[in-house]
Amino acid sequence: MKMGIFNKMPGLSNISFKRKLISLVLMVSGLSLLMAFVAFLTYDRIHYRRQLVRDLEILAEMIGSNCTASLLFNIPSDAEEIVSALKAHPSIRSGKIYTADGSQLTSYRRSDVDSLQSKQMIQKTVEHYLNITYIESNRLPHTLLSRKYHLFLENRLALFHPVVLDNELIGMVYLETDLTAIEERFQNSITAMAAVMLISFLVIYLLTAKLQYFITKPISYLSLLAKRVSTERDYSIRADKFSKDEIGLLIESFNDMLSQIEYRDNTIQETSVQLEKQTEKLKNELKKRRKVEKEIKRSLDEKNILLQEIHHRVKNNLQIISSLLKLQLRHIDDPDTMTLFQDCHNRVHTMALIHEQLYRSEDFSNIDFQEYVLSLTKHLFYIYNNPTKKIKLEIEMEKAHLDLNTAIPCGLLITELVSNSLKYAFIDRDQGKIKISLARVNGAPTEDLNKKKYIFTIQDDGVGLPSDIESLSTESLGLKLVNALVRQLRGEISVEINGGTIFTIEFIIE
Amino acid sequence: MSSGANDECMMKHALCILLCLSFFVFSLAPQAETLTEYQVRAAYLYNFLKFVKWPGHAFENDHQPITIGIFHFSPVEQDLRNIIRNRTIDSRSITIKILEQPEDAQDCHVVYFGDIERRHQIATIGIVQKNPILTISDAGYFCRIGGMIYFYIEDNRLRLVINRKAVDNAQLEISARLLRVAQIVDE
Repeated sequence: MKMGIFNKMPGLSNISFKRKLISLVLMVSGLSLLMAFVAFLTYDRIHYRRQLVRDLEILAEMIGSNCTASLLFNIPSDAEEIVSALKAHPSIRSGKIYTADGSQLTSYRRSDVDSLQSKQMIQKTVEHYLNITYIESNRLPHTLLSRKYHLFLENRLALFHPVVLDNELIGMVYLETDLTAIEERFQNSITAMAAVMLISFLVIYLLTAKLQYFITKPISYLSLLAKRVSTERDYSIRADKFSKDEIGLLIESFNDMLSQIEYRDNTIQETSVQLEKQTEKLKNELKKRRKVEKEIKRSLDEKNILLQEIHHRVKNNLQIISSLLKLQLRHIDDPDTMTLFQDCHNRVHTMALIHEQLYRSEDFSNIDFQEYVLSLTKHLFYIYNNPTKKIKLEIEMEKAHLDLNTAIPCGLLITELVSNSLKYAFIDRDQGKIKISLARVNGAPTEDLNKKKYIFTIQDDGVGLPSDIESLSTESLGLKLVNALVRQLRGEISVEINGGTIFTIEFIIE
Repeated sequence: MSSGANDECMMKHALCILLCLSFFVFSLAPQAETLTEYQVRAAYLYNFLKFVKWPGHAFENDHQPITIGIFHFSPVEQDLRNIIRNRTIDSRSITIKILEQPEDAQDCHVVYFGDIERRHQIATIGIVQKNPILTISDAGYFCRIGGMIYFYIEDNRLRLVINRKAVDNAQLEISARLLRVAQIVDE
């Protein structure tokens, strides 16, 4: 809502409603009174001037009427006698009687009036009326005769009035009066009106001071009540309705507003209590969950420790078996038996290596396959490689973490195939290359995204497999084991002999 | 007063009037032209009518003109005719009646005695003095013989003598405005 008037009157915006009301009433009343007085004074002034002109006309008419005989028979002495009666009018400055041809018959001049002033006034009046240059010479211009004319000039009023008898112009009367009466009347009116205004102001003030109570009382009451509501935050308070007017409506709206606030406050409080309860409940729940989580963590830690322990023991046991096999090897002279024992030792070591890596790592479910392959091939090259031969090992591993069920068959496959290559592929050669690679293959779009397909390749550029064991269905223990391990991986194996031997195993991990 | 003395008196008046002509301006002649003696007389005659009220029985009706009786061969006749042409007094027009003998004046409202002899004036006044007939003359003895208005010029000013008794006897009313400027006698 626009409150422009109060913004423009900063003095008003900071005072009380009661004072504001009184000030506004006084301002409006004062302005109205002032306007009325100005209008009245203006009207009175105009009216009084008209009245003055009328009065002067009547006087001129009377003088003219009395002078008819003097004018008709040209008797200046009689006219002078009549005109001298103007002495009785102290405001009349001068008077003149002119005959019908405009010549002056007689004249009267107040004792304090200078003849020059009187002449000048006639001169100015004639000039103003006829718009000509006129030098007063006791004769009026013919164009002025028979016409009524008056002029207010320099606080004076000049009037020409024709004297008519039986519809014939027989002369002119000129009268000049000063306007001191008007000025006096004006001054008196202003004084009287100032007094009236002062009294009116006083009466308005007293009445407003009394009557404003009817308007300000409910507002003040409402204001105090609003303050109380604000301070005490008690929304159950209700205002009493005084009347059925706008104030009554305001009080009604105020009460409605309070009711709504009270209702919302209650609702908020209820909701707040409910929320507090729920928060408490959630806190307890959280506490419980944290406790359970703690227990689970402790349990998990225990499990990890246990797993670590198990892997450690399994590794130790396998290590013992491996050591026993190694000890046994020293007492074997037969090369075939020695090879068998050596193969067994390697196989057990392969498994022991996995368990060792597992218990050293923090993740007991997956093995970093690249690291494992490096350790394993290092061991195999140490056992089987002739240092005089330059057999190069090349490993191309995709970063992969394999679980125990996949890592052990894969490790045993490397042990079997790499040891086989080192033993037989480079018999009559001084150098060669063994390459191990693991690559993930993107499956068909229709395949399950959780399934990962790998191609595991072990190849050498050696002499190739002997012709009698080209088929994978050979009775050789090593290849039997290889087939068994591929089945365990649920994979497929293929062999290619072309300037070496390439074993390709495809398997899927879910 | 003899006829010669009367003539002398009249001549004297006429001379005065002529001397003052240039200073006198009347409502009938607003122009500043030189007026003849008879024009001035005629104007006075006409102006006197404006200050006189006749009793109701003096007129047969409201429209009856005011009749001015002047004796035959009066030199003022033509000027008077010029003045009263198209003029009215109290809505009554004015006519001139040439009087041949005193009896002719009985049905007039005004009788102007110009240059006629005193005996004719006396005879005429004797006939009309009980009737509402205004009698005017510029002869000095006029009021003494029962005439009503005697006018003359003295020191460039009009002088008037009004015989109130004669006026009252004739049931005429002369305005106070005229009386103001006149010398009142009761002859």
